[in-house]
Amino acid sequence: MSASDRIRRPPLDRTEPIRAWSSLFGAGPLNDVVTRSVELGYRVVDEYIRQGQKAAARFGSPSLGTETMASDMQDLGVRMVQYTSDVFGLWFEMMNVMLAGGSPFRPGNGIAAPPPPAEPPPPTRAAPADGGGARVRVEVASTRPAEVSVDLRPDAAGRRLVVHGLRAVDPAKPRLADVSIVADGDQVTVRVRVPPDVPAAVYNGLIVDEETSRPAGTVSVRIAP
Amino acid sequence: MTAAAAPNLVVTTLGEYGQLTRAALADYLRPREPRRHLYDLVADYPQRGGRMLRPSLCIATARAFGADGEDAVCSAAALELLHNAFLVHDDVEDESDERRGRPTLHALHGVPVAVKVGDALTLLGLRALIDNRARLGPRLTMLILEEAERMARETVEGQAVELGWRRDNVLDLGESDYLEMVLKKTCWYTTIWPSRVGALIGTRSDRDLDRFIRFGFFLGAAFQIQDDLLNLLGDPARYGKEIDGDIWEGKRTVMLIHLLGAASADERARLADFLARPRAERSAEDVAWVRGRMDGYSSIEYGRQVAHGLAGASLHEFAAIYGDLPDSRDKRFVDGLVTWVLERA
Repeated sequence: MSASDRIRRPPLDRTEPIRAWSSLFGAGPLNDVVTRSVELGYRVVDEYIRQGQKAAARFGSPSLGTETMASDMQDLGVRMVQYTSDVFGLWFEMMNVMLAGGSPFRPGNGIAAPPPPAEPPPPTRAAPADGGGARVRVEVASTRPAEVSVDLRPDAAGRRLVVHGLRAVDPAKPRLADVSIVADGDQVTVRVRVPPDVPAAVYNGLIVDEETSRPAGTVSVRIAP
Repeated sequence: MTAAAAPNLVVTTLGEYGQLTRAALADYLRPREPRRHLYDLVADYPQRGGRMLRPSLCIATARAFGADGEDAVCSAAALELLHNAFLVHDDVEDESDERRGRPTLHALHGVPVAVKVGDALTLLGLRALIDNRARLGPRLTMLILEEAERMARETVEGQAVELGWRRDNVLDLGESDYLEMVLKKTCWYTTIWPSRVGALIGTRSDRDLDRFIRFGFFLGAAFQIQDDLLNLLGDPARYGKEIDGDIWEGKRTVMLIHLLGAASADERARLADFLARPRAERSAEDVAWVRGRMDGYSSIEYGRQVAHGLAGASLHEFAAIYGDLPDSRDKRFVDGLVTWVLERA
């Protein structure tokens, strides 16, 4: 049989899987409207988030410290009054009375202390963290300024815990993979090694109870530029 | 998740978490004096039903991140009360005639009474948020209140922008204007707030909540456009609102914005004249003409494609947020919601 007699498959219409937005719901191939809308949507929401972060950086994050909780509530009341009708005013007057009269928001009633201000740690450093009922130890190996925060659910002490690679909001940034957690009785140790070339960002990840596969807390690492 | 299983799971979960929320709502809406002039009317909209999308998303997100469902019930009830408060006031502002298959509250009782009923629903919502304190403690309660304050601010700003467009008969609008407006007016209280608060309750942490803005924005915008499509295409018996009501109200939807851009100069002038008139001076003939032009320029198909594109982006954002979470029914429910918002009738 000569080469020209051989039965050949027709050329393929495509050589890759279809991974288009528009095909997710059974619609036709990717088209201009869908592509443009998604791109526009990302532009709008990313700009919105960027403006929000800029405003937050300008004014600073609100403290949740015990000493400012009452005034925060009053500020919140004033702002909400501006948005809606005068009925809010009455409601927040009641709230002020509640706060003044020894409410659950008074100092020393179980409110978590505000997080410490960002401070570049030395290359290796151990520090206590907010771990509910557990004693938490954080060990950081980094040549760059890094801030590590750990939140543990109160019932996490004594459980077998695991933490996966931490992610930045920007999916293009690599994961912070060298993170581990060891629980020994009521002592929980979180170890983080920051590679020297990791981009500056906030990286977050879940702490998971290995036995139940349920989330048991979060780890957050902020790498300064 | 299989395509066949998704809608069933979504409907079942909406029913279950809706029931949980309704049980909590009953406490806030129990009959009390003054019944005739206030509290019987306050219970009217919540008792007309609804799909319970918002509270269910809040409870499911909290559970997916490790909380007990009960931890999120006060927030879910608060959200439903605030949602109904917004509906009462929106119906007045939009001069709407029907809500959930019945005349609107202001059509039944007059504008002053309806405004007061909306105020009372808002206050009950705040009460429910404060009631979080007993179960979640003061710190988390305060964080949720701050989230509620932001949600209320964003929603009011979005509604103000849309009302301003109608008052000033703004015609020179692009899709990005629409998306910015809908991010604030719809997405914050429909999908962003429920997701953020659910995650806050589940993780006990307010870190990294911005990623829920992306997910909630795409899901909420797809939801809103689908809602606007149903206003044009829905089954009157099931839709519960006036068909073509958005055209009667001159609401700036994606379809209307597309038509404004696609119409000829003469048609655009007629459209501008129609939109400049108060609702009472718009005729059924005019509304039918606008609806016919939307068909003629494929504005409805355009809106459908935009909704599908945004829903696809929300699936992408879902994977980024929930991808590392253990598999659970609640995670699958949130995933399934994306398809559900486009398929609901």
